[in-house]
Amino acid sequence: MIWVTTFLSQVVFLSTQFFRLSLEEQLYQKAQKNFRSDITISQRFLFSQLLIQELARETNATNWAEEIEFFSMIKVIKVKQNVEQLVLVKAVSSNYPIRGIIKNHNQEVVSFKKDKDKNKENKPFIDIDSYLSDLLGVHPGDTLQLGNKTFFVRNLLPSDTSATFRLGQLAPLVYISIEDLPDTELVSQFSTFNHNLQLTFSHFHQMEQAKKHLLNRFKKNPEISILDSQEYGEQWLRPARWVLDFFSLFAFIGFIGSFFFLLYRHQLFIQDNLAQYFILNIFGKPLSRLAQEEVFRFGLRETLMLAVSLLSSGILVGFIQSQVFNHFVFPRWQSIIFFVSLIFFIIWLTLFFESYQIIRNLNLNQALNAFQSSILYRPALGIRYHIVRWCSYVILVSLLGASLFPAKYLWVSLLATIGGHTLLVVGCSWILAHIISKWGYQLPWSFSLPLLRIARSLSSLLVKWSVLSFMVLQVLMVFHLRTIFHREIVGDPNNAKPTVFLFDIPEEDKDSLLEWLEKRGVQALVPSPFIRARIIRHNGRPWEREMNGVDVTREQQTIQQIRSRGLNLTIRDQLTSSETATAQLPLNNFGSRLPISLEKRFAERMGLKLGDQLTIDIQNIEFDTIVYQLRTVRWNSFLPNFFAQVPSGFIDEVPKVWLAAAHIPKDQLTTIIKELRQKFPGVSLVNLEQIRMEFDQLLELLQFSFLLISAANLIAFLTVIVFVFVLTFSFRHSEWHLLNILGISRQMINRLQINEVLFFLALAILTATTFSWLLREIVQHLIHS
Amino acid sequence: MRVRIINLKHSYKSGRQIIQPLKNINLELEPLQTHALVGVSGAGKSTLFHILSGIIHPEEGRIFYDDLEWTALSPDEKNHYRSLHIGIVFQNHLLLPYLTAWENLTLPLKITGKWNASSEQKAWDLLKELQLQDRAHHLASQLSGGESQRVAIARAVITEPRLILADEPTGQLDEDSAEHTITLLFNLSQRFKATLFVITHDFSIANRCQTIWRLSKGIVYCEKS
Repeated sequence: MIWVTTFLSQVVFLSTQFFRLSLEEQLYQKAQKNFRSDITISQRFLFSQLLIQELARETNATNWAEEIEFFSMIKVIKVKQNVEQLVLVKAVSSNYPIRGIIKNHNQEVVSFKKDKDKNKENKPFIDIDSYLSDLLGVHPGDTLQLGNKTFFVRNLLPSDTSATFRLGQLAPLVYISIEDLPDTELVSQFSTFNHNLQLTFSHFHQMEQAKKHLLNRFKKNPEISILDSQEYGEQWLRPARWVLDFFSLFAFIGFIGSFFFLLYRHQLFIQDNLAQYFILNIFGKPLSRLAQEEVFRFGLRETLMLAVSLLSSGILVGFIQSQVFNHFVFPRWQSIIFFVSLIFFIIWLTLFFESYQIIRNLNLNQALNAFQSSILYRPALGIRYHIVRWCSYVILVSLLGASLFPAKYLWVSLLATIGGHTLLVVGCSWILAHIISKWGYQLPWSFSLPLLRIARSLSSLLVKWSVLSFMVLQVLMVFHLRTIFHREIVGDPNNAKPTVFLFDIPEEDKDSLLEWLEKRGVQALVPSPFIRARIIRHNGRPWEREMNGVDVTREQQTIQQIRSRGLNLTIRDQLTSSETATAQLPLNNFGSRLPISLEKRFAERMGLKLGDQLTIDIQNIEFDTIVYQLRTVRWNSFLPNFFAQVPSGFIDEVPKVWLAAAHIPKDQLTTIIKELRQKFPGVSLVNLEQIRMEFDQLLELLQFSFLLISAANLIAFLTVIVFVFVLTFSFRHSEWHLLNILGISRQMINRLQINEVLFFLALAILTATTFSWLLREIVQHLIHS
Repeated sequence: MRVRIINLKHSYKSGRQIIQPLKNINLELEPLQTHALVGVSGAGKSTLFHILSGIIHPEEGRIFYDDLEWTALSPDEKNHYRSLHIGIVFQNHLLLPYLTAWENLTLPLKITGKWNASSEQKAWDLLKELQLQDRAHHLASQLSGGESQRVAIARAVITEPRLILADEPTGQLDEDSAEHTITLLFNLSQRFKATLFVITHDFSIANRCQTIWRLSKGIVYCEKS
């Protein structure tokens, strides 16, 4: 029974871990599909080709590409001139903003045909969005003039290039081959552009390593930003990771349980062989020699068992994956093997040491007198043994933790989770045990007996209570988590969230767009101006933007990225429904300083306080401001929200674009988006409904996976419970006999058992319900923020 | 309590072999007297003890406690009768490890519904007599072997039974503890006016009894009266 229990626990633990990692890889692959590359390194100047090659080599990227994004929009006007059946489109000024990208790869192009006439015409090529093609009446073979340069239109991009993001319709794109960059002189024409180097990797862990390397290489360079697809996909992946880690926690507990089974089995193993040691020792075999032989025997058996566990886990995971994903994904296998081997190596090492210590120092006289007594071990175990065992536990738990929760903040959060629950269980059980011990005997004996039995065998209480409450907690959390995510993303059906988010609305188009929407029965929600600003000075000192080295946490990296980026600013006199002011100075007596309101978390991350003086730069004009308000923002409201906002009347005249959200009924969504795109092609649009659908699909996948993991975990927990009962059965049996002798009928003995189980269950359910509620609040808060 | 055993037979299986330790047992224990049952290992002493205490039911024969036919009772009736009239002391004290000495001692009073202020005082007096008042609130697992066995004896007599059955009560004790414990057992049985039936292979204990019975080859005969 003990063998079966240990074996099952090992298989379940390993399977859950393998499965969890493969799920993470699945999520990573999903993120890859939605984002163009794994890591993007950007700077406001051109990277040299030499540096690009160096970086690709240093990071072991499997592929790399570069592109130059024009952040200043190109103004184009269509002027048709028939010249030998070609259409020349001269770009001088227009109502159509275009996002331009110069790049050296063409994966977004539907069909890419090298034009043989390039040399003849001696013109650089350009690929254009087919929608822009319709709009301008430009076709392959035509000529298009951008800035001072004329381009030969080589090919059309798919009409919805932005659909690769599955976000919605972004402004039309033009693509220029990077080979033609020297010809275009475009870089010199636009003051704002980013040179992006996109690196792609074959595995998740390679990306992590590359990012560390790049952060280290470019530390303290404020002009270079490094973003990975995880950063882009954080909104998608974070909740999924949370849930994965949450379930891994249970596997972790199961494994710890199995570890203790192993220790117990080890004791039994030695105990069973005491007679043999005694006889062999009597006939002259030294105990040290016996110890060596036993260590070898034990190690051989356990290693074989581990091998079988690994094999079974592999088969199990293979089967589950083939059912869930239709193909087998086994990522990071080197890491897994490394971690598992190291963990088990430490376990074996500890047990070998233990065997050796016990057998070598056994007092055989005592063994003769009390053959089956576990007291025998105590004199055999010295302080060295305890130190080694303690250290191995610490290393073991650290390693397991490190393999389970690689992200630093999840590690902390989940340790807090398990710590909190354990504390709750241990604390409550200690207090309860104390109370019951003192007063429990006053109760009628049919209650006092099971209560005292539980209260005074604290270790048994802890094991059973923890296991039961974790089982219940897990079941409850499956439902809680699903509800949390659904509510956060999809929202309350009675209070419908926006379905589209509109941005890049030119100032001159704003009023006509709002009017156009209104005619279709759609009310634009919170239309807000969007102004890019940069913090220059903070309380008179220059604003620091430096990137530190690799030792920074994820949170610190985020802070540094925010510090180095610009400040999103709006003009707003009143808070919206998604904002709440938390602190405010009276809105007067600021002199010439511009009062500025900051989002609370942003202010905290940036180290800004109420009353701080900030000098900001908007379009090369400096403004002195003072922080007069801090407010919280519910970002998942999907309404236009900003880190910073100022009241009207101060910077109303600065150049800006507009943002707005709108709730378009689902049945009209496609039609209105299509019409809007035709009428206002320069306006970018995010289809929030599409995002929610994507997320829902992800949730479905995760839910199914969680069910499988939950089932595996429940099996592990059940084995623990069964194991505990098996261990205590013989004692219970004699206890029942004794109680019967003392006059308790069989029916009453049964009732005592039921009382005990009911008491346990009540405790477990109470604890789990309380903690799952607390946990739900924490998770909701974390996701919310 | 007078105990009469008439034509008692019992056998059990050990592997494939059938062993019949009690072939035809006939004996009568005079009330208020002390009786010892001796015999070699495997003679069937413990089997007889288990039958008398109602843990197992004999194949054949009848047992009377005074005029009550013990062997005709159902398990629950036996259970009830035993809790009121029979005190049992095992070789291993069999105290509940999660109860204190005091709780173990008073548990039978609670189970039989005799728990009240006077019985509580009686239990305290008994504990003092056993010199265990300082150990009253220690768990059973924290008591020494002699202390545990004294508590077990006190537990057997706390309900003032009319018959005390003791199976090798000093089997696991050292010489001093054994002497102390057995003296206690005899004194208490005398004080509570109970018939004492001790199963032992220690002749120093058997010789203290008024009657010694020997169990050999499945039958019992009186060795000393």
